[in-house]
Amino acid sequence: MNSEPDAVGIKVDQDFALVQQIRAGHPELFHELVRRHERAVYRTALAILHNPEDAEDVTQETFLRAVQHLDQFRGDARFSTWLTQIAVNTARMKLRKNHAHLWESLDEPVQTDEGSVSRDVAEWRENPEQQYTREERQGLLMQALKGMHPSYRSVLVLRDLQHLSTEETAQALGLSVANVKTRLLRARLQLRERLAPHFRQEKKEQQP
Amino acid sequence: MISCAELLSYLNDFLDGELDPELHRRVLEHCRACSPCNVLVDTTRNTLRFLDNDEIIELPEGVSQRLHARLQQHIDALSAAHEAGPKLVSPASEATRGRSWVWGLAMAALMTLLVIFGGLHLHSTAAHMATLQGWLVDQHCAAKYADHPQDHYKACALSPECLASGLGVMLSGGDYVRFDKAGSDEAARQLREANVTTDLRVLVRGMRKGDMIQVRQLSLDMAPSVSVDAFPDPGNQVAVASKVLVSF
Repeated sequence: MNSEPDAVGIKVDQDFALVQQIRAGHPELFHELVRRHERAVYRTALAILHNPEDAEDVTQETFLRAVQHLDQFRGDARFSTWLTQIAVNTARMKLRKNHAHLWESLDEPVQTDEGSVSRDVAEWRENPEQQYTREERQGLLMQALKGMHPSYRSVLVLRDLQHLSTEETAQALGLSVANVKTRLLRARLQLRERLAPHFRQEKKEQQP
Repeated sequence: MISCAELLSYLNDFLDGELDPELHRRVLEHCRACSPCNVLVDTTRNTLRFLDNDEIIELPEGVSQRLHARLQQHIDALSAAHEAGPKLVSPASEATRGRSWVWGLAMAALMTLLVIFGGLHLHSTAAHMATLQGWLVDQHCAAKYADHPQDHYKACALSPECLASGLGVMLSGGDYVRFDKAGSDEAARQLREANVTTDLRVLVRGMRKGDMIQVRQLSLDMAPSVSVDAFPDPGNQVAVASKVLVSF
């Protein structure tokens, strides 16, 4: 996790300082603000939408909306959290437009049946992430996320890819903290089961 | 020793390092005795490690360049507007100049979005009587609920932080108009008394200038079918509005 306290604190301060300078008459500094967060915004959009073109559209619209409402950012929350809220809402709007049936499912209550989770998964090699290139890892992740229920996917992306806290994730998605925790557990277990065949197979191939 | 089901309920907090020491010890104790749960914990931890890599999703080539180019278009358009009409702008303090930059950027972005979504309507920036229908949203949450203002809820609007930021109306196109102080106070008063939890529809009439409206009449208690969305009002819509609006 990139949650080393000093680094995060410095980044937050730098974000807020940039916002203040933009407000003070230096709009060109918005480029710097964009550079600091463009990858995270794109990653969120891609993980939700699974389409690079849609993710790029959403990334652009997110930053345009951020500019539009920049005077409403008061520094109470982290700038990245505020930006993520906009990105999620923009991506959801796109998803709703493209796949109304999936959007509907986002608001359905999630049944919890953790007790039925299979534990019958063979052991993985110690560092499974090292056996694939970055492109292969991205492909595996996208494939695994694609088959996941949208309500689980959003929580997983914000918590484990964007490293938002549980409370920030709840705020961004308009969910209760308890609901975020429930969905996160389901999401992690689903992702684990979807990734397992790839890592398990590799291990078997390496065994004599 | 804790059961397998209990271990599962502690799994997230255990992996996130948020479990208290005693429970942490009991989870480890269970894992030592239960091979399936041990595998479950290890493989889920590996899943998180697989995700915990900032480079797993990189920006494709060209995305960043196109994003910055589009942003630069807005900055250039704003600069051109400043240079073309300096005599129309009164001498401004540094702070005022700063706000005008943000406002200009915001307007440029808004114009682009309006064109994108195909609903461009240009309104005079001069003060005029207007009747607006939309959803009650506080300024603090305006960006968050721009796309789905119907989800904004009463408890949020009346929370101290949101209330302090001031209330306003989110129009269906995502345009936000803030209320003056008296209007915001009246909206809060009606909201406290209203038997609603979410979908905070509001009908408001007053003197609008830009993104602010000096509220003269306001109602949260109206039939959803009332249709008024005019800039400025045709007379018949004023008549409809007058039946449900509360003067104060």
